[in-house]
Amino acid sequence: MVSASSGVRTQERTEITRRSPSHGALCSTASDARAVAISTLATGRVCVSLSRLAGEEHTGRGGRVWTDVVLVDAPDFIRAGGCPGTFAEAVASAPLAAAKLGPSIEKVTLPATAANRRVCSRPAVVQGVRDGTLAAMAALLLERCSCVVAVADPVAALEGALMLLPLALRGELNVSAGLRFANSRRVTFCVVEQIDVDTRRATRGHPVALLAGDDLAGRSLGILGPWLELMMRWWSEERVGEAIALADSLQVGWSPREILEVAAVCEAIDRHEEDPERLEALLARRAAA
Amino acid sequence: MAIMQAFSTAQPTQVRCLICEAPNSQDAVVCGDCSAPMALVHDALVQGRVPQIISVLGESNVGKTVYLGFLLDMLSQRAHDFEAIPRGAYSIDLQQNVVASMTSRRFPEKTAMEPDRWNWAYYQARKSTGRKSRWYDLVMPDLAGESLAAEVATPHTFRVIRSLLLKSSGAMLLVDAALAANGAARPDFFALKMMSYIDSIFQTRREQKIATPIAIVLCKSDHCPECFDNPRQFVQANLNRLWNLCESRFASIEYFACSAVGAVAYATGGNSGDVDYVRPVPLHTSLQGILEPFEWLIDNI
Repeated sequence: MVSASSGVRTQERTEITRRSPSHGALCSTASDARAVAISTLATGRVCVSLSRLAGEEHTGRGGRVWTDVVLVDAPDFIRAGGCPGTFAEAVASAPLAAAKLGPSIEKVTLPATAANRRVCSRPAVVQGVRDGTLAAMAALLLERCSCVVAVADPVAALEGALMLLPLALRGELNVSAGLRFANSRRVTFCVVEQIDVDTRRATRGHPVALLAGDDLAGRSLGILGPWLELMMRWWSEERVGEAIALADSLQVGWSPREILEVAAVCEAIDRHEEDPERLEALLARRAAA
Repeated sequence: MAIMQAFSTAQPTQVRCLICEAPNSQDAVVCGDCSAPMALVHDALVQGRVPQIISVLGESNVGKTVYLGFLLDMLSQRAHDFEAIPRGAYSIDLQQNVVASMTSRRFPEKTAMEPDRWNWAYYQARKSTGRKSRWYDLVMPDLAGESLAAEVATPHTFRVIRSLLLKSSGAMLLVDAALAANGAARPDFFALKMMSYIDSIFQTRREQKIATPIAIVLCKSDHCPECFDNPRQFVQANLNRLWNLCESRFASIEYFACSAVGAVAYATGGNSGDVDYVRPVPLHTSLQGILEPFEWLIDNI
């Protein structure tokens, strides 16, 4: 750990060191490759790690990885949107030029941003929504299923899948995207570019499912199927802003039953069987409770 | 006995890892806890002997991968009347990688910190001369220097390292002699920390010394040839902190000098970033003192 702001506990430093990616850990070797990991540490705080390639070290050996880590309390993670995009925005705006790093750095401020919306336009996300891949990934995330999923753009796909989920259900994650699978990272949901020999070797004999993105479309969407189908339809109908706003409005405390009720009301409104005020009243009543 | 226990105490469909003793399914290729190859247990069971673990320790960039790769290659080629048989194809990956890299005039890639990316070698070896030459089953993992540093700084960061050292029959601590000869204190401090860590693991009484044989190997000694003349004197003069701790706390210590590279050139350019480092290029290999530490450890295990 090169530098840290005050308030990072010793136990967290140890866990972050153990989980952080090392040389050659990114799926892609492109110069603009990036990866993200979201972990819930033993202290209860959420650790959002943003990794990128950092060229060669002084010995000329390459594949070095630079990781920016943002530690945030679990409720603040949800309040900030529960998606990596927000944290990437915060890190990008912080004065963290490598050459100026000392042993201690300033804390970062999380902006209230719509950075997530930029992800929606990326081709991998658009395609993933259309063919149901992202909805299936979201369902797997909800099930806390231990799996490795191979898709074309892992980071965008994970961000897209998270945005399909109600904000209330984006907590207690242990996920990574763009990083090779490693037991030491203790992630339950790992999104990679391809399932290679090393991944098969590391997962063989362990309860970890290996899933190709192409095989996910048509997979059962589980207990929140109606909600995810609603999200998929709205995204396909270019109602992305509405979908994200609705998902983000379902904050802490919403149960799956209540979420399904919201989905049913939205479907009824779209069929002109209900007034839009019904949804507003439902959300207002829940917010007041 | 320990190997049979690995099978008997676990569930019928499970087998315990040789290093951390975590239960794994029989189909597992690597341990789900420490990422050590499960083949170690399976191969050891076939042999009916508990393998001896020799840990190769050292700071990042000291040359652990190169040293271990060439050591295994020399054993494979029956240097110094040694006969060595790799147990499993995975044991050959490290030496193949090192030989291929050095042949291409480049150092092997940095060993990643994730334990599942480490190279593990399981060899059967013996000195073929003498009437009663004994076979040794040896497990020698190539650890990442940065993982060692993290574990030494904060114990239990990488528990597999602690488990390895506790089970080690011997160890080699590689130290950068070139840096030490130039007056840098970093090799001395890292070696001091490493030996202090080992001392804390074994937790002997103050008046008792640790009996595990440890070879202190001065790497890159081609930069300071005086190492070969008298390694002990070199350590006492240039790595005095390490020397003092070894004298106080370790009963079985020996000092060696070694070198793998015959000549090094320095190149620049070719880096797409803003910073252009001067990087070392190994022009050819010239192995000196590679086998002696291993020989000593085998005699003292």
